Amino acid sequence: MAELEDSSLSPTAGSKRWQLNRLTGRGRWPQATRFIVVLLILYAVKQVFSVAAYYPFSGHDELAHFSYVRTLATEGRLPELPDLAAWRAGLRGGDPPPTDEIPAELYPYCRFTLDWYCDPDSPRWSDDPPRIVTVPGMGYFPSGYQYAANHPPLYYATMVPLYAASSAASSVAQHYLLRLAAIPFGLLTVYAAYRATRALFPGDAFLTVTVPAFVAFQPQISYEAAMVNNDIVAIASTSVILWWLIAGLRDRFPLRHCAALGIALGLDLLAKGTAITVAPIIAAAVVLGAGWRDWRGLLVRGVAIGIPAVLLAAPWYLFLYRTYGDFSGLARVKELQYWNGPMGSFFELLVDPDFITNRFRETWGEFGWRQIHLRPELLWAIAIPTILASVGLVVYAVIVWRRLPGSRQDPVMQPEPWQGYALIVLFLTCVVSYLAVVEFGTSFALSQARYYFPAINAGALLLMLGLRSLLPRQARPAGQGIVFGALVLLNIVIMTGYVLPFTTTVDEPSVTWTWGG
Amino acid sequence: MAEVTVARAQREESLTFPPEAPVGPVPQLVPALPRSLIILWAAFVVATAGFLITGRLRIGAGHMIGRRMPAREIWSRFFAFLTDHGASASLVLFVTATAIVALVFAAVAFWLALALQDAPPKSVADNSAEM
Repeated sequence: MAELEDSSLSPTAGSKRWQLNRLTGRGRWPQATRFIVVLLILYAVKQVFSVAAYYPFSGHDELAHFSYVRTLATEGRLPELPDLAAWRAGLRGGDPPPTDEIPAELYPYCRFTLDWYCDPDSPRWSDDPPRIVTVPGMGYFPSGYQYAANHPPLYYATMVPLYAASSAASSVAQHYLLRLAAIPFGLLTVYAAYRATRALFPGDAFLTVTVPAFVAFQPQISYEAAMVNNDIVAIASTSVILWWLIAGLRDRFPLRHCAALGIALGLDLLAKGTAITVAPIIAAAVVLGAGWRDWRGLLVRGVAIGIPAVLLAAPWYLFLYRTYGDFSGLARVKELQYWNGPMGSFFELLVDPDFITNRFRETWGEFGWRQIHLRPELLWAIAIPTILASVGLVVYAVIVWRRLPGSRQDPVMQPEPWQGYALIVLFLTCVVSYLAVVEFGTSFALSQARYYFPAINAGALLLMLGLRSLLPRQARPAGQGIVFGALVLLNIVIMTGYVLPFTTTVDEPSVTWTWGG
Repeated sequence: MAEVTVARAQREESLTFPPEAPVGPVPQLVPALPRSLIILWAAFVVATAGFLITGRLRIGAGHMIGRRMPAREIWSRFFAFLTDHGASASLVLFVTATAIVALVFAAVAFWLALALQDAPPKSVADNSAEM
């Protein structure tokens, strides 16, 4: 195996040879490089197929995201959520004020959207889709408006050139192009998983194979990377942040590194509001990495991270405040979505078996806006190894904590302090992400698993570390292959048994498509 | 007058780089596997191909939910669906090709996954600038 020490190849030399060696991966771990290259190619090809396999506009909120891109591209402005009081006042005057709507031509896909009275087979509505609904006892509400208008603009702005370049094509063709444009974000997520694993446990084959493979074949993450949506940008940027946090813990957060983290955080905040949950994770990592006693160092690093993050994100959040009176626009969403009430209190939801089960179902299935439900036997086939891996993680923690004999020859079982901190940070990321979903459920019934998908790389690393802990050393090569093969088979089964049959028959009238079923 | 001869200043890179970077053994194009892992790989490939060609499964979503159907028919219906919805023959061929290529790459990646062994200590520290 090629062995080049980085110390002999200083990047400050800036030599072409160093760059070449770095790019080719020569001297590092060519077998691992080759695996990730093949995995990324496989992922890209698989995702191209997925773009075609999912029924048009069937991704969660795809219609709303597509309409956002259209407004930005054709009118050069951000869409806005309607102000219910002003909208009703206008209605009383005879005409509701102009509202940013989902285009009427997309009404045939209304079953995949949230707030649009849906009866696409009705002759009355098919030519002139409904824009107003009456709710008994509550009055009039807008229908078919762009309910994703309060989302940050980064993803949509990135898609504008593609939308503009394809303006001659049909909406459906444009939507397929935009779906394809989500794939690079998925690739970045998988690559970040690989680099995070290599940064944390550089020479471990089991983790190097299974962590990026888990991310690449996790069905819902793949789904996000074949859809018109901003979630995948948040997933990718958070994945990069996690990778850089691990590298930062190892290198004690040099200032340049902190500035890059700040930029990534700023972009993350411009991708999706849920990125705010990453901020305390970064803070915790910096404190652990730099040491809480070095308050001067912490201050400088905080400034290096905070300034670029604030500079990038502030304009958007000021816009939100000016437009909606808060930093999320969620008060207006609540006002408009009368049906989207709280699910319960924080502690009720935390221990509610239905809430937990539904998040698990959404983590693996519920494609097509909760219309494709995986069967219980398949969910159990996923749950059992997941539970085993979680138990393995506890076993790992105990072994590391107690420094049990038998683990001395295994560098993964003897982590350096910074590696231990990194694992704490990964665990915190999962916990904070999940609790944020619980917290969201205290205000909205539509709290969903995808809000914690940005933590996918943290979850994958911890689960695969747990699984590794249960396997004896001799069994690991077969184990890493079995994990890989099982993930491939899971994707084939889901595609063959669920996604393709749904896509080919969803047009048929006897399908019950009640949203949320 | 005393004269001092000094060596010409050298660029940093010429000092830090050996003339030829030591390069380890070039990895084989197809890394070798122990027989047991070859059997595992072959079993996976045969099982997957067998399932897609001759297997049946219960449909879990859509109009035909609950029915058992051959996997091959499900895939054929999908490609027919694309044609029915206006996809050109070349586009359908392209989508079919992506499915096949993905399966081939999955088999290759599976082999590489089985072949990857722990790296010797100190040879793989991923200390690059990371960004």
